[in-house]
Amino acid sequence: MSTWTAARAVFAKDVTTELRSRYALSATAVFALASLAVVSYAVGPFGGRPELLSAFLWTVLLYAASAGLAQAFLREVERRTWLTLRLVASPGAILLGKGAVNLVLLLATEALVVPLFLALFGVSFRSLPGFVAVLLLASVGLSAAITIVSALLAQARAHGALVSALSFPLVVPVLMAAVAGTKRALVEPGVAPPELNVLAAYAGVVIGMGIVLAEHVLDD
Amino acid sequence: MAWRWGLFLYMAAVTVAAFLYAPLAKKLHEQTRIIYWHIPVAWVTVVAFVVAGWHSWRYLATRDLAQDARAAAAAELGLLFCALATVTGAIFSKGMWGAYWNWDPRQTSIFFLLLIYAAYLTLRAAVEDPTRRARLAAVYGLFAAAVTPLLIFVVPRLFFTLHPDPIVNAGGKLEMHPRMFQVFMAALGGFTVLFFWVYSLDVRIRLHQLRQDGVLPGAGKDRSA
Amino acid sequence: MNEVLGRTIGERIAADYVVMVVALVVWGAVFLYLLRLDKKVRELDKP
Repeated sequence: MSTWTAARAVFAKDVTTELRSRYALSATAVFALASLAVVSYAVGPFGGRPELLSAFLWTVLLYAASAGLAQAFLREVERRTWLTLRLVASPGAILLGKGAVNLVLLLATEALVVPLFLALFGVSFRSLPGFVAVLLLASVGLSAAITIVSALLAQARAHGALVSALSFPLVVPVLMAAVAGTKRALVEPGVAPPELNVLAAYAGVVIGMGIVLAEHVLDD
Repeated sequence: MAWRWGLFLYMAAVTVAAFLYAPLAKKLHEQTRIIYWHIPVAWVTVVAFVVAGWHSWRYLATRDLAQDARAAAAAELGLLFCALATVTGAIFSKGMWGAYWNWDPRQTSIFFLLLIYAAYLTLRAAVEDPTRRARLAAVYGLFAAAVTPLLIFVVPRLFFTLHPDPIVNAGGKLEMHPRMFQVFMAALGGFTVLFFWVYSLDVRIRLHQLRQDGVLPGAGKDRSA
Repeated sequence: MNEVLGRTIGERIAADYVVMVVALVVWGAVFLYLLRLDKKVRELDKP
């Protein structure tokens, strides 16, 4: 079947599985809420300078993403559905499908975390469209990078914590741009923070490399 | 054979020149002589990065484990030089601006490279099978290489830079005192030669080890372990 | 804090010489180590 169809099939399969068990969503949500709670407890409702709040938000999201998105491939290996998956879909399709699942997972988590964040710290964005754009692009880049690292490590039979350790250096550009862009959206009006270019370029590079190297990523 | 001793004398001469021949630039203190080591070492870090990336690519193209050995050797040395670059940069920063670390874009970039090198070597350590290790490391290395230009060239456009532009201009125009420039370029060349010497040693040791393990074909010597 | 704007060739301080000598000694040690390593590797490569 074509790559596109296969990717959609992989995506649908994982979403269905996820909706049945809600394993990944729960894990991600719990991590996010716990870390958000700690920050809120320490800082309080009036404590925040914009750059600090921005950093807190993205720290929480990064933490949750590393915890929740890393298992995308590990579960296949655990349940021994790995070979079947490889027979049915091309490497590019698998990566696209899994990447899409992870993106949805991350967005769902953000839908939970961001409103809470705004409420707990008593802030609002001067440029909400700007923030939403930063959030979306950064999420694409973040989920893409973590998906690929997770794919690499699933075959290494390495511990899930290693996914975080190896993802972090790759996602540093995303985080820096996201924190800067979020801070700017908190204090300035205006729809197009310059950080968007960085985020878009990053997402493009990672997704592009993923497609080009897909055969090598999943070649077991 | 003689070239090694030539390198020794050359680098010794560069060292002496750094202290006795080159003057200090305005407003800088004695600590900032470290620039003659810092920039060449940071340059070598980048060279090592490029070499590792190249051989990672060659491994995926040829599946020749010798290429993987070259990539790994470059990464190991790269980590060492990167750590040195970070430390010497911090010393320079203290002398120049009064703070060891201030997250200006160059410091951020070198920190990022440090993380990448460390992560790459961690990945290598985590995988046992040589073929799989080579493939995973090569893929990770190429991803890292693709992402690096973004952080090194794009980030400075977003943030104010504290790097000494009056002396070394990113635009290419170097405003160093001529003597400083001479010593600096001489050090650059010397360190590059030094890197390739150590790198070739590292590679040859690894290749020998691979042949002994039977992973690579080749004239394995009949040595009783 | 030292406000001198730049030393001319004539104005050296003692520390300059000390650090320079230390640097030369360190380089010498590193070099000799590498030389020995080089010899060993060439032993390995001989048929």
